[in-house]
Amino acid sequence: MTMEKISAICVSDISLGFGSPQIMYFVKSIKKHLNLDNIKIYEPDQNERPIEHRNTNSINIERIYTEFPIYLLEGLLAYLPSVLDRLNFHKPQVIILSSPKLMMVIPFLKYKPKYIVCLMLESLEFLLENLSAWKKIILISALKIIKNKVDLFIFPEENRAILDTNIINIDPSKIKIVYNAANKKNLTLDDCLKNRKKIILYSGSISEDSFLNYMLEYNSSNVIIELFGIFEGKNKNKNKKNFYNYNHNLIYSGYLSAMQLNERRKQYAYSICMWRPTDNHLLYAAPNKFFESIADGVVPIVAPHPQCKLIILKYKCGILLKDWSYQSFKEALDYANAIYGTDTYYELVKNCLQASNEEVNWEHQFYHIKENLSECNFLN
Amino acid sequence: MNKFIIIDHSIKDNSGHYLEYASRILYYSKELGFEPILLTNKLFKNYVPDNITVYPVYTKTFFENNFSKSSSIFVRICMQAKLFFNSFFGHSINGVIIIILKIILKKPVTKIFLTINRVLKEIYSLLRIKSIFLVLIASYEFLLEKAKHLANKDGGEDKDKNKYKNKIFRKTFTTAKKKFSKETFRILRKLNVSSKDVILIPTVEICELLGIADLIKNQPDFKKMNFHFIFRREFFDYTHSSDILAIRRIYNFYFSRVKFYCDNMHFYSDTKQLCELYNGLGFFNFDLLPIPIPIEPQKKVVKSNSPISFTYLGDARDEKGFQKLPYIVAELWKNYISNGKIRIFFQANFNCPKGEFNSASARLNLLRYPSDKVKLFLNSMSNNEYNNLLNNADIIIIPYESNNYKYRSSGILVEALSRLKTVLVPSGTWMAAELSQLHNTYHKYLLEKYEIGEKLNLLKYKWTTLSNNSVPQENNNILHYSSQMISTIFYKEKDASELVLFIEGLSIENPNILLIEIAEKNDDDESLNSKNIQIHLPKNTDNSVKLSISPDTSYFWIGIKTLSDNKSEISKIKVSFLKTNKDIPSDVNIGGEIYYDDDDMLNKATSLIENYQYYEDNAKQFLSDWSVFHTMDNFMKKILIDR
Repeated sequence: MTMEKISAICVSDISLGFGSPQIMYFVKSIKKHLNLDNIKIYEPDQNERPIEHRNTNSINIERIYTEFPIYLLEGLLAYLPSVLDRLNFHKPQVIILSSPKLMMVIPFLKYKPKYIVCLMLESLEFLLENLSAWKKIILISALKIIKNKVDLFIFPEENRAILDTNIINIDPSKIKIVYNAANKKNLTLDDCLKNRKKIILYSGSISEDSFLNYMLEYNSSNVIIELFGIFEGKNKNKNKKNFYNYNHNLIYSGYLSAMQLNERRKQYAYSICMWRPTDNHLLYAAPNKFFESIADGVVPIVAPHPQCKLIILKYKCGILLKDWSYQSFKEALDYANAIYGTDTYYELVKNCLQASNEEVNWEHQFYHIKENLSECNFLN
Repeated sequence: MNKFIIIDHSIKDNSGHYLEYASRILYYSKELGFEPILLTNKLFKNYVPDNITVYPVYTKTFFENNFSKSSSIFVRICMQAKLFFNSFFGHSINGVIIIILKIILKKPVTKIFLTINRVLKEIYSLLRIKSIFLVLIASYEFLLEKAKHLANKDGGEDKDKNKYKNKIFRKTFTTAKKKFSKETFRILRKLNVSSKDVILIPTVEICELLGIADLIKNQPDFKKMNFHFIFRREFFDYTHSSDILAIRRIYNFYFSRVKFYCDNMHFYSDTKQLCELYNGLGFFNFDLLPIPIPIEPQKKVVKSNSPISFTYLGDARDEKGFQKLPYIVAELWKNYISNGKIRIFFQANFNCPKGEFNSASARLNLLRYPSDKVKLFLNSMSNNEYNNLLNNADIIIIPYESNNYKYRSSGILVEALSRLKTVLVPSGTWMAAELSQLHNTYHKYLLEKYEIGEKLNLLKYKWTTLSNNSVPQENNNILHYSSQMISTIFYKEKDASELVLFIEGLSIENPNILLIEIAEKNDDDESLNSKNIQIHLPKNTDNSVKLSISPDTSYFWIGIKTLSDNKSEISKIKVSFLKTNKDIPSDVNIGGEIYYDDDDMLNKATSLIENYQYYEDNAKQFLSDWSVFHTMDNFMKKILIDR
């Protein structure tokens, strides 16, 4: 490791460029806001995710190899010591952690950083779900102590914030809500509608949890749904079989990176954003693709996940299902089909752009934590 | 000087208006020549009102006495045992201990540990069974007593019940009841209370009642004291209709115990619905007590050209519907809040340290809005602050959960309407029932001015089920309905712009909720518009609903059913048509609106804002009489006459 003065280090729990763009957004915003020259990101090496570091604005990103995948406990246990070595070597004053599980490095730091931020992009409840009872007890007990060293917890959604607060008793004054909003694009209506087609976009994991069965059942010659992503879940082979064996109006176009998807999204009239609310993590979804759709003027079709519902009510910028039933899904798609090309549709697109310009953009969201970051002015 | 004593053991500070309520009554009692005394929780210290003597006496609050899981020593033991067993004998830790023992200790010791484990688990199971057994015995005792009472010809008092039954009585609520009894005895003895004094307990449940009965049983000279109890909640919260019979049995058991000691006990409730519920038990006579509002109703603050104030008052609690407020703010943001047409003022302090889950999330969301447009009051408010907020409000939303407020009153509604505010309340609640009465008055006024054509008596029409079977109608006087929808059609009066539907029910179950679906159809039988309405239908009360009519409507299809499983009857269902020539806005009443579900809440909020001027202009004419009952004079008259 070379001796360079690094003021801030971000430790990511995922390889960048494929999900959670907030990690990069946050680091860039911190760099700009605090006027930092040296800021570094450590990312784990996920085999299925190649290095995707375009437009990093001179942010140094280092990929750390581990024998096991990061999503396994063994992988995490291999990743953390490597990160720890680097942190203890560079001694950055500001540490940014992209997941609560990364807080486990804090007790082993050989110096005292001045400011620690934890991005709670994954809920604690979700992380604890698959652990055995004794592991849960140990992890919660540990986090209850370690959390006192963290200066700021950033949650993407209010209900998740309260749920996690109740698990490890986070001080409410250390909590901020920052939506998973995309960067502002300053698009006009013409920009959005230029190459637009009457096709509904679905991107993400393809399974029953994301209502593949509804999409297969909804068979309308007037409505085409194009899917990008990977078939996942227990029944993924059965779902793939169903997909290819039945006549339907779905097109499967494989897997795209976030960058590639961003380039194509504006062509689509609508984007489906909904998950089966089988647990709190899915119920209180704060989905990137919802915000990315709004930023591109692509009208989202959403189930009543609380955050999505609130934003749609506020800006009238989407089609909201009444509930998670097939009937509601059908009514929403029928409505979407009926209004495409009408003034009602254009109004929705305009409202998306307005929402993006006014509030639902990363720059505005970051504003909510600027006051907290004034404690980091020691870096200037 | 005679004393007027209020016992409110939940008063710990100035939150929740308990202190304000008690102070108001005591100040008035002082004017009537009483010495005002307030007995509070031990934790009360900083907010002592002037000219009232306060004694912080009680260890536990009303909620701790009646709703805490550890209210009885027996239940507490069970709970502690359960916690102990869960933590020590739960799968994971148990497994870890066994592994450690296997590694470190010899086999025979492990065997002993496992045996002890098994024995203790058996004991725990027995403890759980015993608590269920106790409730069964209580029910059995009630039935036995009822049988003996029927057999006993003179029906006289029987204080010498056998000791076994008294043991059951003593076991229930033992610790909390005894404590309340002792604490009350000590303070009343110290104050040298006599039969000319008034002792009012405004928040009471079974535990307090048993405590007072215990006190009188042990101190016979207290039998002459005047105790006044106000029951403000229905039988143990969260009862569903199918449980009422079982809960009634338990209540009757307790009331029958108390009856032997209660010569000078007076029982009240503050809503008609609660009075009917408790009177239905047949032990005591519950009188309706007004909710005493300030003696001089505050004058409405006149604001010119300022934004409409949309206000929520009360703690940030789930049962008060605080979690619905972000959706209202989101809905109103674009067209009303962001451009300054309305300003939001929400009281948002928690009643417990972290707040309840839904309310805490809602508050986090609301805090994101700029405070010059959405103002939250995060700390509990003093009386002055509360009154200022109330006086400056224009529209007050009371989004309480219907299940919890079916019978219970809302002081905020009384204060709001008495100050000529416009309110938004949920259907199926006491608030909706009160507002319905106001609407009914208003609809009758409209009939005098705008009615055209003949009134239609739908009882004389042919009603059928959805599968076209006729519905029996008794001499065209009573219409039976149930959870199966029945329907009929009626024709529109020419030129009518609105209709008013009048309904009166005969339901014994109180309150019954009627669902009405009205669809407007044109000459080609196409549906133009359909509305779903829920009406809270207390027995023998005239209800009415006003609806606007599309110009192309030719006739109406109307369907009705009940939301509960019980059958019910309607004794009146009439339709009148109005031709208002656009003198009045459509779908607008006075005093405020009732919403039926969350979507309707958002629509009605928008409608209230759009038509706010109409509500304000007509408030004085229709609301002034409403609050005549809820005065301090009436309140005191009731208490002092009963003394």
